[in-house]
Amino acid sequence: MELKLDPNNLKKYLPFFQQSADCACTLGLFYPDGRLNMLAHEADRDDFEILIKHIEISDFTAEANSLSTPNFVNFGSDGTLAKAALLFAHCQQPYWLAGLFKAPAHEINHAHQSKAINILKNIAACLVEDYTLQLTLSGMVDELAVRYEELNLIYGLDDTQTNHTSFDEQQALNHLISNCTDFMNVDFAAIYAPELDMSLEQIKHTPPDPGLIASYHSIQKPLYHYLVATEKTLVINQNRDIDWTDANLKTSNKILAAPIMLSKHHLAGILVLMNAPHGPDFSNSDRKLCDVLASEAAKMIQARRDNVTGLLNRRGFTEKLQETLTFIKKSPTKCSLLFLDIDQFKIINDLSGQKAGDQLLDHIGSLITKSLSYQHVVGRLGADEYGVLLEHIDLDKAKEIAEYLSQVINQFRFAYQDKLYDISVCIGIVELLPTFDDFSTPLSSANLACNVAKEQGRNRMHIYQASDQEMIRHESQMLWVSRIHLALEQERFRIYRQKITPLNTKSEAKEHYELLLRLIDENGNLLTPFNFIPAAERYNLMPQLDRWVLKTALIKMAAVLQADPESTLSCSINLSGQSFCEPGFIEFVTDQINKSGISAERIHFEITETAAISNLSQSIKFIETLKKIGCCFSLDDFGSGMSSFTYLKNLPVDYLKIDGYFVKNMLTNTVDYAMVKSINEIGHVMGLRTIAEFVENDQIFQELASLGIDYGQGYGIAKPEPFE
Amino acid sequence: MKKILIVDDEPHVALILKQFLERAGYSVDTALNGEQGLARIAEQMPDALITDVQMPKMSGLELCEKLVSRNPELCQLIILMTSRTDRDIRTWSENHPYILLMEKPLSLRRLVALLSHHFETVDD
Repeated sequence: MELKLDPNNLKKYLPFFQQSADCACTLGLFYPDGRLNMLAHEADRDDFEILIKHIEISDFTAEANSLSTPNFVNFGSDGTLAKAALLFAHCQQPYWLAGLFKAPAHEINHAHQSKAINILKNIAACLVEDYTLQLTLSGMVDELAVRYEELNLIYGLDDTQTNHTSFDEQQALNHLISNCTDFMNVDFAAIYAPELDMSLEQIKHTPPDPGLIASYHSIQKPLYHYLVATEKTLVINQNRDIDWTDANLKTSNKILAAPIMLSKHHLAGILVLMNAPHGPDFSNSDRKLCDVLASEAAKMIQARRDNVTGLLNRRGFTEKLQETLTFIKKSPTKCSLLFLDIDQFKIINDLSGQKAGDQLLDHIGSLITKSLSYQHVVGRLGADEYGVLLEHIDLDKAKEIAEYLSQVINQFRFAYQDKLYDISVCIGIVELLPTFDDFSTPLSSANLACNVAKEQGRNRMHIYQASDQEMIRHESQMLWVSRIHLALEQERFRIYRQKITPLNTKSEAKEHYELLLRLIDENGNLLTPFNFIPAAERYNLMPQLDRWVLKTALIKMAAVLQADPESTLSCSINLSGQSFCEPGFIEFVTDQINKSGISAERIHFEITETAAISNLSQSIKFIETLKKIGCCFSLDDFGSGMSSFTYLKNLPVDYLKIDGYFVKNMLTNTVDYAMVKSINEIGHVMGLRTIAEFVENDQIFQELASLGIDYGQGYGIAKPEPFE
Repeated sequence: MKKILIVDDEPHVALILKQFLERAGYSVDTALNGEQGLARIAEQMPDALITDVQMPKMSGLELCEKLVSRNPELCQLIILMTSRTDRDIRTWSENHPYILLMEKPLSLRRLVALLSHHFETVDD
């Protein structure tokens, strides 16, 4: 590092030097080029200027180089020049310190001469010290400047780009490598990630050095494979730094390459920094910084990837989707979006465990990717949901692709341990329109279309159209979600009760009711569950509603029992399959019953046949647990499932409620009559008591009584009334 | 040669900036606080001012406000350095077209690039 000494550095020493002689004198510095730069009072300046003009620089420098201690040199000995003397001392190479006198040396007395020599020597020594300090300081400034750049690089203290979060993956990584060339004094930076189909390059020099880029391209792949094998950061400052067994790796450039690890042993790509052969070596701190940047890159990639399938995650996918939307607003191209949902994924997860589920998700992910051309973007959007962004594909083509995908997936059979599963998907399709505000519109439309497809069964697809009746119905169901939440919040749900009475004298004559749920809507109308239960079931709100019903019912029952301790009141509460499958629900029920102080015998639960069968083991566990504390159970809507009898043996219920559909028509329809009769008989054989719903009139009442049905419920007996 | 005034109560920060900017070919003067800075500006208006925010006697913000109120036509570049990321400082600086906020530690390369870009645009 070369540092220039300034004659101003001499200012502070001038007064000391001026003490050495009684003639005018000053200090100056000889520069390497022979120039003399001096300090002088304005008055004396001209004299010294003349003096200097007549100094033969070459003579002087020749002499000066041979001198190591200060000495006097006389100039102007021919008498034509002003009488002057020059004293100079060896200073920091290549500088020479000069002392100038406005008098010839022989006119300066001896004492003054030796004093001047001494002072000049000391000043020279001080200057050397100054110079060394300045050099140190300058080195420290360099070092600090580099550290500041590194800090800026690591912490991203970048003031011009404040909004990094709006970057997508590629932009963020490009920004990272351009920071390397901007801040790290690196000639070339690149990220190579074939797995992600990504190759980014940034070169510092303009125009770019084609040699450097060509050299990078020749070693890119071998370097990648080398790092895949070693998983270690590699520094090559000289060719012998590595054993180049692979001839392809030969390069004279300096290389620093770090693996971008997504997890242990999962290398997503490499970060490569290169300097030209004459460029600086890569240091240890460069290596560490490169490691930090590689892990930064890994974080950027991870933030947008799903670690089960390696596909883009929701964030990564929506970024791409947004990018495409911006693109189609400008250019008249057609793009489509598919939303795929694996049918009955939950069953596989439940039966074979999460590990199996994850394996399946990975399989399906790669099935989708492999079935499509690489330019299409595939992402995992949720538990068992995938998104496929089809670029330059119109709706008709998208439908063909969706058909092909569902065919491929339908042919796939998933084997896990000893089990084999048939896999299928439902697909929602939507065409991207320039009118969409942002990615959320097409995404929710495709999701909606997929849900409609799912309602039609397995292995279906549905194309989103804004005017579609199915879609409208579906959307209105979705509206119910917020309506239900609001109703719960505003306490607009009500509990009604309908009496269940013995049909003959043999049965116990207790005061028993089935509790029913009603909703007072925003306009004060009373709505029955048929309006909102389908939506509540679809969007998994049943546990919330059931909890509310149980809690409220217990409070009301407790109030009745407090007013009349002799009451024989007992109530049946309906529960959905969703509720008793929910973890913690059993505990909630027992806890509520215990808290209420009501004897558990007074509480009956009704669960539907279909709910019980589809969650058989859960249902049995639930029933057994609550029966232990004294609750009773009825199997509701019995007969409607038709597969009923086989399961009946396994369900430890106390009552069978005969589906009202049969009861209603039993007087006119012989098959229905036979159903009622046989359900009753089988129930009795199994030791269960029977309840008939929809007892609409006296004739039915009489008929049921004569068949031996135990209890009845319906408009013919009592209408539902508010439970107050 | 363009003149730059650096105002910072930490002498080492001012020294590093001074050395670095001098190497980049600027003439650099330093002051230890807002008051001193204002006095230097009164002697001679620099082409650019680089000032710290947190300083005793007179903060960088006060300095800037005084400077702007005294010279409404001011078009000199002012760079505010801060080690804190207070939102109010950020919003405050956004209201002044010639005031730029940079977080400490500064990237000296970026600073030099910024200055040369600024002077190029101004001179054009």
